[in-house]
Amino acid sequence: MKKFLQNLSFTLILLFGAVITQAQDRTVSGKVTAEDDNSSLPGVNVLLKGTSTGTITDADGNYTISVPENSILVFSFVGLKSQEVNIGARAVIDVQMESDIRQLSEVVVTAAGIEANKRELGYSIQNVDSDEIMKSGENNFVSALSGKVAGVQVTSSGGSPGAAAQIRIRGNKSVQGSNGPLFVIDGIPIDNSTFNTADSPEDDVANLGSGGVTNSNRAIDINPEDVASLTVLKGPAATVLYGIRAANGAVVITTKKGSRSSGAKINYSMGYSVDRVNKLPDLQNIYAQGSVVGGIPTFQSPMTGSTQSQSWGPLISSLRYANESSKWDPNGLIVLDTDPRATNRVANSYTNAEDFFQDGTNATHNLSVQGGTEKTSYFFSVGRLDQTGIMPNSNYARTSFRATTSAELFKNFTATISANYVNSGGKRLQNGSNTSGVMLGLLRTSPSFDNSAGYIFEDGTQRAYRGGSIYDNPYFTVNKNFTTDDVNRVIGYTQLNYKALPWLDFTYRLGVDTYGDDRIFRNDVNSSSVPVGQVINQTIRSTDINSDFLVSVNKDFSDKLSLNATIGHNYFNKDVHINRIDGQGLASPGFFNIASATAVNASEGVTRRQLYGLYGTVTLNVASQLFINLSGRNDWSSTLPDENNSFFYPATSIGWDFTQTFDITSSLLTYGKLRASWGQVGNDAPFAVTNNGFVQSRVRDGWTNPQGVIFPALGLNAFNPSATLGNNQLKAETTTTIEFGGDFQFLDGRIGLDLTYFDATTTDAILNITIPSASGWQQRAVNSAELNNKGIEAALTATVIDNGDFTYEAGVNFTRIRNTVEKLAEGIPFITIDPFGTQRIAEGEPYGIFFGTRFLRDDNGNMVINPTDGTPYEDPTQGIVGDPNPDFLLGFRNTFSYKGLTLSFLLDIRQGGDVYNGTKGVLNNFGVGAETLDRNERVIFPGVLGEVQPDGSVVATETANNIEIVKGGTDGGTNYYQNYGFVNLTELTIEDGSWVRMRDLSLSYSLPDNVLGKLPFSKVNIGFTARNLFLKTDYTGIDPETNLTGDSSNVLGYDYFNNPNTKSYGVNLNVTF
Amino acid sequence: MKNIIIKKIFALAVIFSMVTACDFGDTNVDPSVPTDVSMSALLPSGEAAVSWAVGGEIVRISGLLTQQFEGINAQQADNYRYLIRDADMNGVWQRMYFNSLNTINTIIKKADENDAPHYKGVAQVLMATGIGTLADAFGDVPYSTAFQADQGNFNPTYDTQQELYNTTIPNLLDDAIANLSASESLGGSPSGDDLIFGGDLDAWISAANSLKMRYTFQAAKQNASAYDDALALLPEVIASNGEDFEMYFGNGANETNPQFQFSQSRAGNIKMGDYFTNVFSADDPRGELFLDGSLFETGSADSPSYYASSNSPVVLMSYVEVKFIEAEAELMRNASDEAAAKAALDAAVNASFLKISGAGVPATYQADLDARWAAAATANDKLAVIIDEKYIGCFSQGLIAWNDYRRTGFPALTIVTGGTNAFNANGEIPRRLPYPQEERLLNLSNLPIQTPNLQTRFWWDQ
Repeated sequence: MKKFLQNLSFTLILLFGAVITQAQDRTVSGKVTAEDDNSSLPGVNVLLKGTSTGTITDADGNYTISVPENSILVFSFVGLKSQEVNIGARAVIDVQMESDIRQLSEVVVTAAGIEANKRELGYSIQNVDSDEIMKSGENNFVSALSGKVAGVQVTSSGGSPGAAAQIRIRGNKSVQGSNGPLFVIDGIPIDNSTFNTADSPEDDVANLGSGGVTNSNRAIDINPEDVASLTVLKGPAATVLYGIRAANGAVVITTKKGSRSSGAKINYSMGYSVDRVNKLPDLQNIYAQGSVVGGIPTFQSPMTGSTQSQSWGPLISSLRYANESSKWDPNGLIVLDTDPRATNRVANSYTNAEDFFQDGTNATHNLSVQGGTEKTSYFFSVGRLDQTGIMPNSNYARTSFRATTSAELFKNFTATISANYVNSGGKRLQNGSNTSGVMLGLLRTSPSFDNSAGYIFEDGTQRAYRGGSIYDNPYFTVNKNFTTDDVNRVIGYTQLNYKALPWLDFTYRLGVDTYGDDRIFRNDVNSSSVPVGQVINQTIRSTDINSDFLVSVNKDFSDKLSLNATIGHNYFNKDVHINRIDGQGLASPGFFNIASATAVNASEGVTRRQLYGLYGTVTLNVASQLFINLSGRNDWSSTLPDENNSFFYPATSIGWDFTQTFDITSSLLTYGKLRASWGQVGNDAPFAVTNNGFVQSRVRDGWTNPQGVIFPALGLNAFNPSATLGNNQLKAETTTTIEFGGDFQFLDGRIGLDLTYFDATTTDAILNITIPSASGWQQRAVNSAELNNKGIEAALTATVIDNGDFTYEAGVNFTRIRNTVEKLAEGIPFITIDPFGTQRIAEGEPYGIFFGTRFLRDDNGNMVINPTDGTPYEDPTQGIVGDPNPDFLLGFRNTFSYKGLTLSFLLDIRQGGDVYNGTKGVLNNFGVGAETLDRNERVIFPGVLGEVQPDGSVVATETANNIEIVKGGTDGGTNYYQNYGFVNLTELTIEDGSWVRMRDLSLSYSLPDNVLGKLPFSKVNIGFTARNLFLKTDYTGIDPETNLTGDSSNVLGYDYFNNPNTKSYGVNLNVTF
Repeated sequence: MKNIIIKKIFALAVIFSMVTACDFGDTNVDPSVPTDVSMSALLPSGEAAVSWAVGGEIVRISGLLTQQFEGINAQQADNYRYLIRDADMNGVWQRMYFNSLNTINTIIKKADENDAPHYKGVAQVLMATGIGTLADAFGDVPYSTAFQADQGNFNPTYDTQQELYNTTIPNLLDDAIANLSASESLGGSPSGDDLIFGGDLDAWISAANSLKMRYTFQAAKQNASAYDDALALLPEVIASNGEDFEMYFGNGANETNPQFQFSQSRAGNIKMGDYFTNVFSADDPRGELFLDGSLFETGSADSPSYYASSNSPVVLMSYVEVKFIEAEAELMRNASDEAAAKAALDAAVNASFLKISGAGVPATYQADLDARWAAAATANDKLAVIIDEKYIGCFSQGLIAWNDYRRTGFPALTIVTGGTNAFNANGEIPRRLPYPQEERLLNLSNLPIQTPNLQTRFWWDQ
């Protein structure tokens, strides 16, 4: 051991040998400032020409260097023109540096927290600054990225307070694994999980809960006000150092920090906005509850003793109140106008859906202090968000504290400590395929029934349009069936940095992200989904620990050749414990404590992951015009079988600034760089899919969700084999990406264009394929799929007008991605990814294609008509009926400034992308959808008549259909809207989800300096903001930016009684002392 | 010197890699998912799951197609008017093969490993119950190559219904009886972990013999000696209501009966069918216990329910059914014995009254039954009397009512209107259920019927 230490010290001496410097001749000092505003420039490289001897300027731009007589000093800094100065005999040399339009000064944070100049990168990377995030007015900063980055698609799961947003960078690459990017804050990867409190523990695991409440994705805990800048890393060449967790790209966030040697700067900002529902499905409000009986639309409602769900009844205008009371309607019993009891009071028709929603509010307050001394810097902030939803009794709140301090403890050794505490949570309401879902009961309600006239009778039973607790009255469910969550989270890190030499840098970073999420899921007594009442206590404890050790070398070999290299080691450990207590059968209504439950079942779930990585990267800079990078990483992952748990992946990129090479100085083309990269990134398996096991038994079927027999039950405990068959042959999946592109500046930098083409292929994608249940199991993890994503990303910026006082700047982000499932495992024709079995992944098709029921058509595409009732036949076999992937996404930012006044708005366009509108199918079946207003129209469906064969199959004839029928069957015939079943044909429920929307608009005014001079403020900004000011879409449901299962699944475009989205208007104030 | 440096660097690299080269131990093992459990931890799951499957969706589909129930909302309304899509059947299939029978098959394998013939016999009876139900609903179904995914077979082939009826089920039950009769079961015997019979092996043996009787008899359209063969089993079968093969659910909120839970979770989807409601005479106390008032319509019961209360049983095979089988067999066998048939019918009806209402058949009811029997001129008319009684007596017992309709054409149901669709083009009462969508999509090459058609008759229905 002693010998080892000796050897180690010897090695260290070797490494640090270069520290010993030769005696110098004399000392020169001075200050470096910027030419345009005379501000001091810290961090400027001061180098003795032709050597590696040098220093950098301090926080005030001062430097001191010992040099021989008559030497030449080279001053250089990213984004500024280098200067060479012959010192002659001078002892003090002050230098002014001018900016270099060709050297874009955009410093970006790349993988592993390495800062780089964007111009030296051989791959696409895009920055979003804090202004852009604040302009969005979103509380979830993932939603704030919508339309702002090429290659990125953001889908929020609805307008409920605290709802999750799903983000995809360059499309879906994995089938069942996560497709979400890695979120990194100040170099520390953070957790962005979405946990569903699903109907049962096994649904938690499957993450396919279609009911329940809308949950948050955990990145929502980050206060957008703390974000200084954000960089999106898209391809493997950019993310390779982050390893497998960034297989789907990375969102790298730098938080605000103080700067050294600056006085305390106090900033206070507040915002207040009002949210309204932005779009609801069109409903009819003419026809009453009821059905067609013997060819006559007949009024049927709880007051006639019926549980009728539908609204195929008579005209409401033909109904009268009687002078007889009814507990179902405060206006009295409703009867036909021909009834002897009828008065002349015509029955009311109600717009239940519109009336249900209220104004939501959104209030934010943020206070921060930042500054620094000569050796330290600090940033403290506290933020508070209070949100109330557009649905009664829903809310969300977030309180966050952040402290980041940095100190140079001794020369060149800096320690940074940061801690962020967040408390968040709120009241969440049920949605989706769930008879306690708010929208399910609300939209299905007949227009002849007033939901708002009370939701509960004195005996505790419900007042709902179908009588008792069949579908919950939406007011019942919001007041009685809400879920609360309470998250306490700490994200902290320590970073130690030692700049041993001007060219050698050591960094160690240890981060922890830990939170507890305490949830109580409630169904009160007499709720329709769990009439006996239910309380579920769920506690999620998640801890991520991340450690990185990096050694960076930054060496200039000559003024033509320099090298940046980093090697590093990474350790990551994730531990998630989910404890869940299901209590069924409440002792008393509203008593939501586990002590209230008559039957209690507990379960304990664990997810663990450990990962070690070794990585390295080298960038050669040849004459500041050619940038060559080589990177690689090896990971060891705990989720793969022992023999396959180590995997290596490389990446390389080249950037070439051809305007330098050819010395192009035209003002037309000011700057141009071409870039190309190739890279791979691996991905490991989900937790514990390598082995088989037994799970605690829960016996039920699709009609008795959420209960069933939950063991222990009947005095016994019981287990059954898990549905998923393990696979101990799994290996890592690999995504290989080729990327070409260029960054250009035209007209002296007034127009900038970044253009990228990429082609990414994922091979050996790990997925749980569905296998026939008759094989005894239902799923099996395999390496099988091959997925391809190709795309074009373009980011255009233009200063259209700049005449001093008035400027107009425009920016466009364009994304077009095509994905194809190239291959699935042998014998696996498809994989279903959604809870209703209509969205799938199949060979040769785009990801997540809609596959479902459709009309029967002959070879010429004519519909085949049923000769017995004149309606089109359904095809007995199913087929492709839609594609949820958009054709392109386009964000168009316009900013106009006049003196202190700025008007900015973002138009967000999505072209294509089908959405499954299951809501519409059911509403039309029920006769409440506006489409069913044509119920009395006589129609002849175009098509040819079918002929039934002896074997029962249907064959098309050549006879054109001439059978005239009443479309809604209100004459007693077949009802077209009900003929294809409860949710109607999938073909009829798929709709185009294209939109044009004003994503955000802000008008802000900064007080001019001459006014500020008389005030104790250095900056005052007031503004007006609006979100989703308008939305233009052909989609007939709610806002098509919706997704039933939120971020927790790979489902796309699914709308089944989802909670609607919002638009908002607000004001804000920002004051700096 | 150079050599030493290289050695040192190499030593450092080794130390570095020792830190990083990884054995992750049991990090990737989920502690809530044990890799092995005992047979007694599996048996309650297998019993509850197969009872749930037979007593839940199977009872509803049989009841909807034979108008014991009427679908008034959602997919049940579609199924009632014979719109049954392949996707509607995924649930039944998964409930049976994955939730029930794979667990039961695991018990069979473990019983072999542990020398526990008593567990094996119990599991084999449960397996026969499940496979028999599947065969009566779908025809050919996977069995001999099912439950083999853990051995790499992900595409089970189909056993023909004929083979299942003639060989597989009888052999399975004979083997079960032999195992249950074993003098010792070193690996253990079911006792308190047996939710159905509490470890009473004799009861399991008579259940096995009764199932043999059912599956022998049910093939009567194909097998001339089926009636005699069924009658030959009489000495071994269930001999009283007390021996019924049934599973009771519980009153605890997490252990209630499947029909009760359906009435709670899906109130308003079905109600009692008009045809069924009208078959009860005023002196039949079973009417009130079967018709369930508004339970299914509103979720709240206004009277006690025999089969849809929280702790109601799910009946898998009963004395009542045995006696009805005996009655039909005596009537329909070549050497028809009408007197024996009537005696068995009377015993069946009386057992039904006893089981449901606690008292024997009322004299007025018996008199009416005698009169109907006497008035029935032909054997077929007498068959109608038997099946009309069985339609009541075997209500909520698996697929019995629908099986009887398909075997005999009774009760004389009127088809519902609007029953023509592309799956059921002639609009008549379906003869089969469509194979589930998952089989069409995942196991198409083995699927015996390529297009879903509810009128294609399978073997015993031809």
